[in-house]
Amino acid sequence: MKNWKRAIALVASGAALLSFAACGNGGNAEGGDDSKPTIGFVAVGPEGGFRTANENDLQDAFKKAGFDLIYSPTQNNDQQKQIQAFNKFVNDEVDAIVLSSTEDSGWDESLKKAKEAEIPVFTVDRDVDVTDPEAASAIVSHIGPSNEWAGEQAADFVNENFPDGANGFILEGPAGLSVVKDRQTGWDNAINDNVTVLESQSANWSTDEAKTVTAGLLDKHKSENPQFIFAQNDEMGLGAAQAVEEAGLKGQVKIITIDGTEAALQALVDGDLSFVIEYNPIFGEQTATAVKDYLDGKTVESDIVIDSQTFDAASAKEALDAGTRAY
Amino acid sequence: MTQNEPIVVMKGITIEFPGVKALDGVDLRLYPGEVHALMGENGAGKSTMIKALTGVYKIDAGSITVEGKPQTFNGTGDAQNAGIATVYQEVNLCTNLSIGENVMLGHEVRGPLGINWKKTHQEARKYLDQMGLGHLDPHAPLNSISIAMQQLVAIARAMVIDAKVLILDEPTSSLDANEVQDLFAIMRKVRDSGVAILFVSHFLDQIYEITDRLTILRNGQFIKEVMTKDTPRNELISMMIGKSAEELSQIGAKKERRAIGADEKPIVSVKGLGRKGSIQPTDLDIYAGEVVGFAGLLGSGRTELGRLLYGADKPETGTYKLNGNQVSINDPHTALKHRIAYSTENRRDEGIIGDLTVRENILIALQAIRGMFKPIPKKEADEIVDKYMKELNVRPADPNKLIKNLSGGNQQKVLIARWLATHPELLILDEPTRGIDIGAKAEIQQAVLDLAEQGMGVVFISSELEEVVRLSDNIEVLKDRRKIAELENDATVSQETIVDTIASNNAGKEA
Amino acid sequence: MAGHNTKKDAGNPILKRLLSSNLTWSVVALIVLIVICTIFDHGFLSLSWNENTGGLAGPLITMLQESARYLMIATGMTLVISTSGIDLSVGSVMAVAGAAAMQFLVSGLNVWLAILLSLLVGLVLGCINGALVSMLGLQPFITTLIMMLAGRGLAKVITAGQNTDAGSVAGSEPLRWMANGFILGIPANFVIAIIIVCLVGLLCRKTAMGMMIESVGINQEASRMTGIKPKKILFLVYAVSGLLAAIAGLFATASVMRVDVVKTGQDLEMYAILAVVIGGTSLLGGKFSLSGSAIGAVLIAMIRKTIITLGIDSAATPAFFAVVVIVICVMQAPKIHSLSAEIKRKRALKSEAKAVTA
Repeated sequence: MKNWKRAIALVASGAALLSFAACGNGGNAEGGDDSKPTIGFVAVGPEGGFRTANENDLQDAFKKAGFDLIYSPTQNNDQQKQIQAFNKFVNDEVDAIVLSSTEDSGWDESLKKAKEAEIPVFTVDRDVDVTDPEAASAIVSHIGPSNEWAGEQAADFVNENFPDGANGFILEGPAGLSVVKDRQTGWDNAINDNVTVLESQSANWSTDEAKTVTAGLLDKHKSENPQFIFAQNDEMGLGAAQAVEEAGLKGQVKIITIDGTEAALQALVDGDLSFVIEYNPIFGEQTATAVKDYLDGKTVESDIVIDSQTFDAASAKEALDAGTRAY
Repeated sequence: MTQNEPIVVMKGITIEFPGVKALDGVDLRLYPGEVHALMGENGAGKSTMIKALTGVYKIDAGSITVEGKPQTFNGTGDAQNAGIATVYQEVNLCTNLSIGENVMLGHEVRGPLGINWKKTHQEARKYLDQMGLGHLDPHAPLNSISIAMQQLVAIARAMVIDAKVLILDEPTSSLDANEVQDLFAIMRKVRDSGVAILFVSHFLDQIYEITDRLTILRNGQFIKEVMTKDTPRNELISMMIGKSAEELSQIGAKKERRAIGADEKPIVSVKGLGRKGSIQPTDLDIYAGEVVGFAGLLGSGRTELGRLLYGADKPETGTYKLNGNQVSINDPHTALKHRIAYSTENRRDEGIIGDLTVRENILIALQAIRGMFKPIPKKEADEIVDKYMKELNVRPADPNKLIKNLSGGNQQKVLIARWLATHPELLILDEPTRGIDIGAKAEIQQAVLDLAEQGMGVVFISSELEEVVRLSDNIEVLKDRRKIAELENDATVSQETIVDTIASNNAGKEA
Repeated sequence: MAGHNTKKDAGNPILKRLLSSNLTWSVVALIVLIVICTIFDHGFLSLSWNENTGGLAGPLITMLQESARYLMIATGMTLVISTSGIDLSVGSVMAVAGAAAMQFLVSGLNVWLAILLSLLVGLVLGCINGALVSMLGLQPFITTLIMMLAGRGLAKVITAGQNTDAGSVAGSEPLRWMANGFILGIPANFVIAIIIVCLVGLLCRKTAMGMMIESVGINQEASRMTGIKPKKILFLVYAVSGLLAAIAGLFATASVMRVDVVKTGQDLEMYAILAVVIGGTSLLGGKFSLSGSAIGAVLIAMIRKTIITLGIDSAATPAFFAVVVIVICVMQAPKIHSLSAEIKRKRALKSEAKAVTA
């Protein structure tokens, strides 16, 4: 029943946001309280546990810090819509823009416009890739956990558990995303030479696809005794765990995932997963502080790395029992 | 006519399809400045011959010579390059382009900046003027003019591409009398400019009016080439269907009128049945065993009245009594349930379901009445299909052929079979003989008489007054979407009576 | 000479019919892919008994397991396409039904009730499509495109944007079995899917439903004139498509007992359309072949399996998929058949000419 209440609340808040945005269209220039700086948030929109937690936290934090935040989510990872929202914020002359981009490239033109309008831009979570120095200078700071660090943690876990080397697979996210590249880079940098990745396949961040892909890989490489699966997100790791269980290999194949959602931690406690690296979505406060500091004329670090934790079964149980997880 | 050399000589043309010889050694000569008709029943090979000449089919034996040069056509492009232009039954122009653009398509006047549209349209006007179509605006979109006019534009286009031979395959099947005269006027102009015209039509009157020379085909074989003016009609018909003239004369007799008894009750009795923009309120009684003819020009409301009786269009006014009971017939499903059936004039768009088999096309209406989940048992279905295909002599006698592959006449027979399978009390036949050959026409006319004999009420709608007069017991005359007269069709009534009735009535104009 | 000819004539029609049948080429493509996979991975055809799951295990088995959902949406899509419509919303309806099922389970509903209600949700969405298309006469493409977008949103609303996980809900075994279990060693979802395809097939061919659907697809106005009620038929096919998509949604989510509001059923409407086209039903409507679509659906699953088996780089998988589908479509094209017939005819003529000169 609790979930239905949540659903209703979401619809209500969605409607409220819409009307809020509608007000913002016409009147945020004069209607907004002068003492309250206006922040435009170019967001991804609800797409899963991490994103929802992250964006809710950002919105709360900015409200708490006394900002007027205009939330503008896109749909189905449509970058075009994000660019439109971004340009609209520039035209409306907001005080700062927080950008959580779906894709790392293609932002040069928009950033240049922001620079001309002297609007500072803060990228959160995913970093953007800009070639133009003028565009790059529009970005004051990047705030988010490090994907490379997460990849390194996964590699370290495998190194530690299999000092004599091992065979395994990697389940990647969709090709071309910076997250995918960064998590892979971190892994590649840290992994020992005696560990062999038999095959890397994309399972599109999807639980369901990961199960199919993993089942296929287990069939194909049965003879090579695979001992670990590094899934680049929780969703895929959960799918892989089910394929492993059905193949009767539960416990024999260690599954490492990144993100740290509640479902993954639960799976960790249940022994379906072996190691979960958090990709901490809770950095609204840090972001709000960075924006506030910059607007107050203080210097802000250009790369603010958010600390994340790693979990094994024991620490996962602790965290779940504490009930403080936001996602 | 001019006795110069023929432009086209086709000799010993043979085309074989798996299992059949569609053409077997057929000859055809087309002379410049002549209108030449290909005559024959459906299936005689007329279309195949035209397709051989236009490069659609490759010939298996024989030769085609154009202006003395032997030709091998590997596609329609080759034939076009040799100067052979075709105007099909269904106009193959771009309806969303302007008239001028259609006329000049591919021959636009070019300037330094690409196509000069102004000059192109001027040029188009020149050609249209030549053809006596000066009243058309080259800038107007093609779909703003009638199908008949579109056909004339298609002919004008043939002149732009400087054709030597113009093929007109049944251009008149959907035209009314005035439009036919417009067409003929243009055909004469084209003919006089030295082009050879190959013409196909099922209307004998038109053949005798416009053509100079005839080639007669039967069952894929060449019968004879004759001059039109030297060939009497009955001789031509007997050559086409291979029967003697005496046998034929029997079909032509006018039926004796069946008088309605005083105590008979009508099957259908409507009062003030009408629909805005379609037909004004009309009273009508139809009795069992009676053939009621609807006569009138195109647009007189004859089809509209038929559609209202069937519920194909929803009536807006009036009462509808069926065997004395008040009913409301608002859609075809209800009409069929009340045993009223209507065979459309628009066979292709509203009649046949092309990609279904003959069998399915026969059974579908009966099935629709019974309901989707009560399939007709196979045995019963077989019997129905077999019975009607035999009775109506559907050719080929294969129920599993797709109906779209049958000739027009046989498609019509299948449609009649479909309606008969529903056992209607009232059968409305709208133009059942349009665009079909003489043999099938006679069979359908005979079927109408037989059905009335068996006690069915039949409404017979046709643009050919001659057959309306011959088959009907009573004739409803319509004009300007109103019923203007009801004639008891006795021996004194003839085509002229109807024409006079229509001509002398001016009520519609006053209103 | 004569004897030779008659023999040839007798043998040819069957061969010709086989060659021009879409079914044949789909089966050939299926076999070719299996052969390629077997060459690449010698264990591809191997089957073993898995004590853990109580069924057969092996690459082919997981392929069949995946094909179940395609079978469902392709069957619904076949009927819709036959009426010359299209249903772009099947993928989203899968997500909605899956989301509903997971959410119901998490909120403590009985598993059977959860299954029933989520199927009802799919049916209702299908009925909305059907009502808009048949009664309001909206274009199927636009109507179902809107439903595709709205459905995704609805799925997110149902789960409050979360990827609801019902993996730990007690008593959800029947649903889990539906997607992961086995009947006599064969994947249960595949068996269920095949039974449903057969039922739909029987319904279409043993009643007049199939003929009426085709009739409406070929010529709606002519169908109305025969007393068929086209609106009823249109409503029906979209409703059926919605229901079958809901079943597919259950297969997809119950397989991992988790709905992914963004990914579940994503792009699957395209797979369904491809399966239908490969199966030989024209996008213009009219005659349809459920068995063709079924083989098309299995073929789609096989292509995806091939991608995994060959280890094709994730960036190249869409291209690989496209190439395989294009090759199959080209093999089926009537032009290609007449071309090969033409080549044969020419060859025959040549040899005849040689015989005459000799």
